[in-house]
Amino acid sequence: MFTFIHCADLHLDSPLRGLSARPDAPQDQIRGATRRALSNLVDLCLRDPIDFLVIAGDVYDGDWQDYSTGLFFSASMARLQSAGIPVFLIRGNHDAASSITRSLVLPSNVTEFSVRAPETHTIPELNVALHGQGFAQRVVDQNLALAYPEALPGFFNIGILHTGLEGQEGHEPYAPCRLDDLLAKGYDYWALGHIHKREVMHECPYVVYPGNLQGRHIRETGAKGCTRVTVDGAAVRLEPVWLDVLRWVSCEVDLAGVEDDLTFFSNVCSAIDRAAALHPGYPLAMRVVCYGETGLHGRLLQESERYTAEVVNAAGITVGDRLWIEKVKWTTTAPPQPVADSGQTDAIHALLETVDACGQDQEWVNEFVREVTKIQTRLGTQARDSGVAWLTGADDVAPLLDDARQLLISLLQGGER
Amino acid sequence: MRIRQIGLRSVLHYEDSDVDFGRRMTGFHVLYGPNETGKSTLLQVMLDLLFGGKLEGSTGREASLAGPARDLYTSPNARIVGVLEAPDGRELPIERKRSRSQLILSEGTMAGITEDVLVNWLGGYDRERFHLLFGFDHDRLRSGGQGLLQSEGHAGISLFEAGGGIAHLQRLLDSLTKQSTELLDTSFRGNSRKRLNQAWLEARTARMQVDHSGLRGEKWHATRTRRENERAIVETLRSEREEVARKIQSAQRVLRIWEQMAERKRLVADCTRLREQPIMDLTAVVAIETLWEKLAQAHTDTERVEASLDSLRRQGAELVVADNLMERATAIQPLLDELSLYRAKKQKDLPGLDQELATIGQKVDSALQRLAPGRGLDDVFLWRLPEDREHVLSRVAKDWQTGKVQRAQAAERLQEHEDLWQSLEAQRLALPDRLDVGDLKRCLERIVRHGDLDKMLSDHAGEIQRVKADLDQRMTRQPVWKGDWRGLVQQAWPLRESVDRYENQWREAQQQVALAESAITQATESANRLRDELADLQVAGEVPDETQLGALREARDSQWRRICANWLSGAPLADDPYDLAQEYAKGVAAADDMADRLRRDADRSARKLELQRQVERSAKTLIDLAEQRERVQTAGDELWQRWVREWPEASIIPLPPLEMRAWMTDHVEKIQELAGRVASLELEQARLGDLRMAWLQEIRCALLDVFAGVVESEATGSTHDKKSYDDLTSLVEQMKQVIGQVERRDVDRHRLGERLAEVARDRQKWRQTEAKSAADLAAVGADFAALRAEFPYLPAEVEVAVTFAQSLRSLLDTVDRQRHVAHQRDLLQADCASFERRAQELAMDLVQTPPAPEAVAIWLDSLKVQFDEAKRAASAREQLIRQITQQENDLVKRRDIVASHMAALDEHAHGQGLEDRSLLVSRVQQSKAYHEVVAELGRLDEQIARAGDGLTIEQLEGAVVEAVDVPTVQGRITELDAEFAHLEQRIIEHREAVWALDQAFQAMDGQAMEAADQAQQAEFAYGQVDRHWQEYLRVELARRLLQKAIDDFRERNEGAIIASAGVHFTELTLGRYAGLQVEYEENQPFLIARTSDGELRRTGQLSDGTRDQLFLALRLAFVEQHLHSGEPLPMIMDDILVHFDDARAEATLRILSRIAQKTQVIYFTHQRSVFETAQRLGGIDCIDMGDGETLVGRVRMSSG
Repeated sequence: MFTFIHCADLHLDSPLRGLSARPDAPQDQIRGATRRALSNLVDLCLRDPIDFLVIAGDVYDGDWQDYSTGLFFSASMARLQSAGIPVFLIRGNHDAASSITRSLVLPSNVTEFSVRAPETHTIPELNVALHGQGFAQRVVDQNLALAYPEALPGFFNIGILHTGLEGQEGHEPYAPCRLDDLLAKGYDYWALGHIHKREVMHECPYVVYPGNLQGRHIRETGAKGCTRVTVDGAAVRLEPVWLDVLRWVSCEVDLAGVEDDLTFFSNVCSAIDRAAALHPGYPLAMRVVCYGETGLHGRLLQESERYTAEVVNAAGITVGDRLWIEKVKWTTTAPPQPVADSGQTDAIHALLETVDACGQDQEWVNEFVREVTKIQTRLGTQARDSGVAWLTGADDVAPLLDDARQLLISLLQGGER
Repeated sequence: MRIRQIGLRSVLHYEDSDVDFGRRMTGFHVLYGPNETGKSTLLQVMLDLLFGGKLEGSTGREASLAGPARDLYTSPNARIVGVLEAPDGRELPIERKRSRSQLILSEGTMAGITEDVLVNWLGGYDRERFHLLFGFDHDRLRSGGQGLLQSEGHAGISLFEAGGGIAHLQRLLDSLTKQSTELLDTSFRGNSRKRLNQAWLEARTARMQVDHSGLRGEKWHATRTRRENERAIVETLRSEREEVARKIQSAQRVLRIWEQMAERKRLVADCTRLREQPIMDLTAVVAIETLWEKLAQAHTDTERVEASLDSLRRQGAELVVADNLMERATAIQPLLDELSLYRAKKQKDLPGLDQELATIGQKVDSALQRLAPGRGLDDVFLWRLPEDREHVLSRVAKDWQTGKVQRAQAAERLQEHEDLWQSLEAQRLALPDRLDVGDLKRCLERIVRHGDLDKMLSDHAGEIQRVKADLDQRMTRQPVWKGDWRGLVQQAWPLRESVDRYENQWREAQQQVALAESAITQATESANRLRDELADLQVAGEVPDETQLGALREARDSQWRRICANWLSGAPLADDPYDLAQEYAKGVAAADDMADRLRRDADRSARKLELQRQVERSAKTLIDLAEQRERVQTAGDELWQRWVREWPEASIIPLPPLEMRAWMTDHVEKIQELAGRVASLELEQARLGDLRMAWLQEIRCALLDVFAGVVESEATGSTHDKKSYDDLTSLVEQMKQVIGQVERRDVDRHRLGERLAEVARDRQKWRQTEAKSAADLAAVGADFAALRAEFPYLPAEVEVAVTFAQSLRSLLDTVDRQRHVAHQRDLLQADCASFERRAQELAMDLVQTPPAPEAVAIWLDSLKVQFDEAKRAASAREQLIRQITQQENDLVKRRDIVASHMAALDEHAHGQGLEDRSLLVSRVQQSKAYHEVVAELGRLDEQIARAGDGLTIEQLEGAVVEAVDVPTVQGRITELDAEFAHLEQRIIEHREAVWALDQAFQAMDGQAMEAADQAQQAEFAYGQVDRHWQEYLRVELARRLLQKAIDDFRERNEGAIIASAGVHFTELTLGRYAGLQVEYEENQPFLIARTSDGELRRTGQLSDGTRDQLFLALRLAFVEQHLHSGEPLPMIMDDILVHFDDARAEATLRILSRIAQKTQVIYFTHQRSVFETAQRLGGIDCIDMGDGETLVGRVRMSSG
């Protein structure tokens, strides 16, 4: 029987995105989160000794140049070396683009697979054979899996591959391959990387994405960590182990039928409590999404700052310091208005007609998009990459028009602000 | 749609109130009612009936507009009912009631009608929009007027505001623009303070810091290489230093071992000499010396043992032992051991048992006498009760006792309840008859619900006084009117438009005068400046001019003409020719000089000429301006005369229009308002007075009814005298007291009845309990009787029988005890006799006189003394014998040892070839000396080895031999030390370099996080950018849409609405304005009012009232437009004519009358004048809510 840990996509020193700095922010939890997740991984390996560690690519962020990051990784691997734990590593697309990878010398316990052709390394005392190939450059569009060697008879064969397996959306399709390509190799375990969400793609043999070690933005919600694999004869047992130090959580608050602030506050408290209870003890960065058909819709738009503060307050009361509201999104809708009489000629009716007409007037929308695009150009692509809302076309204007319509109705019927 | 009927059921204090608007499809209904007639409630309820909705938490006006007021519908029976009527005559009955926090359609609504259906009847409008579009009140009118002022009459904004009933649109638009611009500066200037720009800049700065803070791989590798190089240098220097150190060590070693090597040489020589004789090995030497020592010690020990043996033998001869006693020790010792026990039995136990037997005998006799007099113990033994029967007797006795107690208690409680019931029944019979105060309560509730009428009257009186005092104060503060405030209020004042017109004209006249004065001042200043400039020009020297040159030339030419005349015609010269020539020459020179000066000062001359001309023009201008000022002043005087004629001649001294306008605004309007307030309060005061009188009468009747048959008040004991019923407050208090007393009495009666029933129930319960206790007791008695039949000697009383049984049991137990004690005493006596017999037999064996039984103990005490002495002496004798035997054995052993040692020494001597063991001594001493020298040599070698740094003796001897000249070694060491110090210094320097590089390298250990922190900081800032950016997009888009909607709306409605509103505006302003039009300024359209004399005025130039009328005209135009294209909906108006004068109010009512031809108009007012005007105009449905008598069937607003 032997045990190994499979992890991937460390993205060391990659900042957590989409968070606004506020005095109450748990900045200590945020800064260095990816490093502390790696430290947790090493601690885990040392606490419950394993036979070897497999890292399936993307240790670094591609454009990250601080050599300290590489040194930190090297020091972490050295801790495993002192405990006699070998590490098997392939380069992912980010590592291939990283300047750190090119010059960093890793401790002798780390075996890095070639980027030119598939390699096989064995651990004779365990009868384990590991096959892998790293990325030579950032963009690899050929199917690397096809060239992987056949399984070694009498060995427990592990394939290590950084790939956008067919059908995985939201990630660049690097080193694309099909599940059948992997299964055809006859390996006992495929240790994949590149997809940040933990997923077991196949059982018997296992084809596993362990997910990344630490969620970095609201699209990477939930628990993050590695997969501990225990092999006992022919039996292979998987166990996810969570290593993240700050967890991203999405909390949906149903405001349907809510008409007053007290009920609003109560619903928010309940939803936050439920969402936070799923991750007891963890520091959380929570996005609160309020939805539903509510009479408060107009006021939520008109006084969004105040209601956002109410949500933050509710979070503080309900959960306390370990919860930080990353953002509050308002996707509520107003209760259906009475069907407008065709004979209405008043100004508010005219305003609604204008909003509808503008939404359908492609030229008007395009002009707005053009002007916004000019400003976005000034903001720079870094802003877009950092999660700043980006208007890319007319389709993105429709929800804004809905918001603006409701805001105006609320302002006009409720009087001046 | 129109409202045909509306009714209130248990709403607020209206129990059952209705208003019927009749059957006409359209119509103008003016509902008049002073305060407290339910006018505001009806207005609120009207909207609640139509739209229902969620109940708000207050009855305030704002809350009322937003939704139904919670406080109106607190009664569970609260209902609003109404009938709506469609244009085709269909009727829709609806009813609403409160359900939780909602006002919903209830059972009185026509079947199948839901809120969705109802919305269609309401044109698809929700409550807010209906109120914006079809609800009119004074505040909204004023807001509309202010909106026109804020937007400066911008046509788009004005039309949009009027078209949507919206207020302050310009401010709203400005607010959106401000929000948008405060968020983002689209030029992205570096020093922008906009929120988004600042966050963006922070993000960029942090991103740039990432590159600066990060560690480059090349730097890390270069540092590592330098560190390795420095380390290699240090290693090399250390090797060199070690070599030098080794040389120093060698030289120092020679110096250290020099003398020891010489000593060693001497010892080696001694050793060689001693080895010339036979040498015993060291073991033999040590063995022989040990044997000598042991032999001496053995001799000494043998002598000591011999002396000790003699002493012991002497002590044994002196010792005496009583052997006859020791021979009978087995008989003596048990007796002595039992002696103390015997003594205890004899002296303590036997007398104790005798005493106990005597006591028990007495007890038995006494008990026997008590229980069975005249009977023997044997008879009594036959009476013994079996144990189970005795238990039965105990149980029966216990049950008997318990039953007796329970029965007694039950009887006692029963008696208590009997007594209590009797007492309560007596109280109930003593209570007076019940009084009916229902009428009195209803009367009181009505009065209380209405409020404290006396306080209201008092408050009203106080308020009237306060307002009048305020009026008087205002009158003293105002500077214009000389009469009292009533005269001022009754006075007809010029219309505000007239004042506005005069104000404009007066302002223009004043401006013209000021302009004229200003022009004159400027012209005067200009003329003075020109003169000053002319003077300045002259200061620099006389400025020649053409006139002067002309004069000089004329003089010269005159002289020349005289000369020519003389020359040509011989005309005589009057004076000397020479002088003439001289003068001519002077004239020519002067003219030439002047001409030269003119040429030289041509500019100054021209300037002078120009200034002179300007001075002339200024003088003329001044004259013209003075004439113009005269004309303007005259016109102003005429205007003033006309202005003065506008005002009543008496009691007033007119001020200029602006001040008069201010006076009217600041004083007249306030005074009129306060006077109106006084009138209203006085009217209300009268109404309240009437109401009070009615209530007084009603209360008197009610109280007299209540006390018709009752003279005395039970609670207060005071007499209710109908003559004292004049004070409403005290009457109300009396009513409350009476009602309170009656109600308290009713409560007491009720409580007493309940108490009686409760006591009766308890009494019955205790009766049952008592009967049950008696039955239980009888059953126990039967059990006891059965027991006596079985044991007839038991006494007849249960308690006595139990005591008898217990005493019998005790007696029998005592007899048992007596027998047991007697047996014990007999055994003890036998033991003592046996002991005494054994002692007497021992005495005889010892050939002594046997002691009497009483003296046995004393004899044994004496024997014990003798026996102890005999045992001690026998023990000492045995000890002495054991010691002598041991000493004798020891002596034999020691003598054997001496012999053994001597034999061993002899054997050693023979081994060394010596004849006698005495020769062995010198041989041992010689061998011992040799071994000592060898040992000394070994120690010296060890010292040399220690000082020789591990080298062998031979190597050290070689080193000493090599160092031929030992004194020069010290000099060599000094040289080597210097070289060593130099190397040491270099090593230190390079190690410092290594240390510095180590520090630098360790700092690059991968723990640094500055770059990562900066990257995170950038992300934080981008998070802020995102927040501001989304807000910007939302606000900016909303702003653009609103702006576009405003423009579109204007384009769509400008023509028709402006024309229609213009007509209304003309009528509302009584023809002072001829209409409205749109004019453009810098491409912006503005609404312009055109006066009857063709003058154009912006909204800012209109008075407040006129602007309000303009807004009303626009709103009415939009309502009319709606009526053209959509279903009619009722217009609901709340006192919009408060600040309109009578003529304008009448004009407005006429317009509304026309609109009412097409749709229902419901107008609420508390102004009597408006109501009367409406009545006078005719065709208007005038409803006086305070006059139910004349409008039976139309309106019935009655308090419950």
